[in-house]
Amino acid sequence: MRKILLVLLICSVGVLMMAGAAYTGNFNANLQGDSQVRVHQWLDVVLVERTNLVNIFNYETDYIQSPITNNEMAFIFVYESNAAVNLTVEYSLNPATDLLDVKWSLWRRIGFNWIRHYPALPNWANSGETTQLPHSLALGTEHWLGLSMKFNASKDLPAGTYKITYTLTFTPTVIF
Amino acid sequence: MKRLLVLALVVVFGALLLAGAMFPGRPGGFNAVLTGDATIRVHQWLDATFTPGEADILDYGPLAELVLGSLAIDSNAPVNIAISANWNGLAGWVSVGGYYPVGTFGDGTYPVKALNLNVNKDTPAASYTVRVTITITPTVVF
Repeated sequence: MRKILLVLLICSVGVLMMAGAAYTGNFNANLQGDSQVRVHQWLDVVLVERTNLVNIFNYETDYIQSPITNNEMAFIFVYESNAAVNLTVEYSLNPATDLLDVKWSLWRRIGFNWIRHYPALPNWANSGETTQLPHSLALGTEHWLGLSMKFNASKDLPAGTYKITYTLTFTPTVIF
Repeated sequence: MKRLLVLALVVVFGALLLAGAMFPGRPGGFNAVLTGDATIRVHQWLDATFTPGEADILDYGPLAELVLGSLAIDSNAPVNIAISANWNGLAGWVSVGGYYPVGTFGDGTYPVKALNLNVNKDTPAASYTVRVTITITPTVVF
């Protein structure tokens, strides 16, 4: 009697296990499932313009590349991305010196106007700071950005030629 | 007398009914052969499993294929397969030229793919749920 009960149980469980996947004659099987598609963040950046030379004629004086002072930028670039982008600006001087103070700010061009994006006026940012660029769709058709630099030399800065090396690092905000 | 008559009638009819199956032959036996055709219809059965997967779109523009999952087929005849997909949030951002597999397939495990996608540049980066519907019909039908 126990054996018969066991066989019946095995048969029942077997039928239950196959229920979702087995179809008998004249079937019309519909299978449905949800696939996950991850659209990753992409970025297009094109360098449009770059100034290679900065002249410092006097100490404790601001020499500024900006659209307001001289309509000049250290970098002008166009970007497009399908989500907000983090931008970190870093730079170093060669030969290294603490006697030349270098700051940066970022500008967005909307139509023909440049608007300060980071940091808010009248502040300036230091090397290593990060700002976030909005999703390019939010900027309309123009996605132009300008990196503005400010140089201020101490009185004791030796005269000479200094090389500044910039690194602009773009990182995604959408990561899976 | 009536009982005898009834009995006699029953015996006669019984002999008539059995006539087709009786083979009076030579003394010692007979060699009887009956033939006939019976039709047995073995219907098509199917074990099928769709396993949805995960896919990544890394860049905008044309994309030859996107694997949305896998389909396992085990049947006693080839099956017809048709696939459709609801792209949910991706609809409008992605155009798709076709799916695979579509057509007649035998036993095996097949990738379920969207073919010839064109991903719009403005597609927001995000995770999208794509609902895949697979309809399987038999090729052997009675």
